[in-house]
Amino acid sequence: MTLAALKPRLQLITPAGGVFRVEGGAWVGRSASDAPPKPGDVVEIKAIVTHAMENGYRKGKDGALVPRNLIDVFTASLAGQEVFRAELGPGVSANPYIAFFMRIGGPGEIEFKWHDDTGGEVVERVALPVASS
Amino acid sequence: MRRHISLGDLRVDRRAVVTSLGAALAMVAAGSGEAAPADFDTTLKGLLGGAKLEESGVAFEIPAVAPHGLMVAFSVTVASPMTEKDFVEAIHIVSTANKEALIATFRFVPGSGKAAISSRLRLAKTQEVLAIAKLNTGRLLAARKLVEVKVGSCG
Repeated sequence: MTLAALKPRLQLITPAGGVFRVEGGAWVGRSASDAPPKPGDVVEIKAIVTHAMENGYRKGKDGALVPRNLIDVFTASLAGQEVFRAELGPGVSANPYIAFFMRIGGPGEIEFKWHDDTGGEVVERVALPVASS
Repeated sequence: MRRHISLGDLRVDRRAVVTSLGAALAMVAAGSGEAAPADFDTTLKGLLGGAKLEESGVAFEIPAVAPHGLMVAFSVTVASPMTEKDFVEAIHIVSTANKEALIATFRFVPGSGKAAISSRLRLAKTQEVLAIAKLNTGRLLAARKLVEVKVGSCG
């Protein structure tokens, strides 16, 4: 699988129950009534990416072992500072799904980065939706 | 209810689990044809670094029965104020019977706001899974759950 085939999907859930997902590089609310998070809110992020997470033990049709290729590291950074990091082994399921939390400050950018064993990276940068008040 | 044995003596506990599950587990183990998971002891030792596990403070949700080991959803929550003085540094998910024991490590900073994660893991066979939380003070909290796997995955 080439890294270009990775399709990250991201969702942000506010403490008030607002749900946003990344569309075209921006957070889009599920409906107009979804209020963006306020500074100080701890939001939940759900991230999933398409990836086989080849563990290196599986044999292909030709009987040879399929080379290991895992998403080994996933990171989330807020305004340039890493706030969450996941180091994944072969025991993590294909199309790795990770849900976690982060505390929102003022306006800024969240950077999500998936890195795999081939050295490739997929990076998604999205400006935070933050309430003005 | 299953009797818990001190986490400090997991080697004994694993034997106890095998005994209690009896023939069913023996069949699964024989069918898989795999060697004993030596990686578990080494991995646990490395994570502990001489410290003791405290079996408290970690909420670990994972199904007691998994129809298939390829994808088992789980979540871990550790109650913590997540301040500079008192926060969870990492949550390790450790398998007692997969070929590679360390399933994943999730790392936090105070700015994470909450020490909680959800994900999905692979289990080669019926086994106990540990969620170990490392606090910034060096304390290690843990919870463990037995998951009965109907069809195993190579993990």
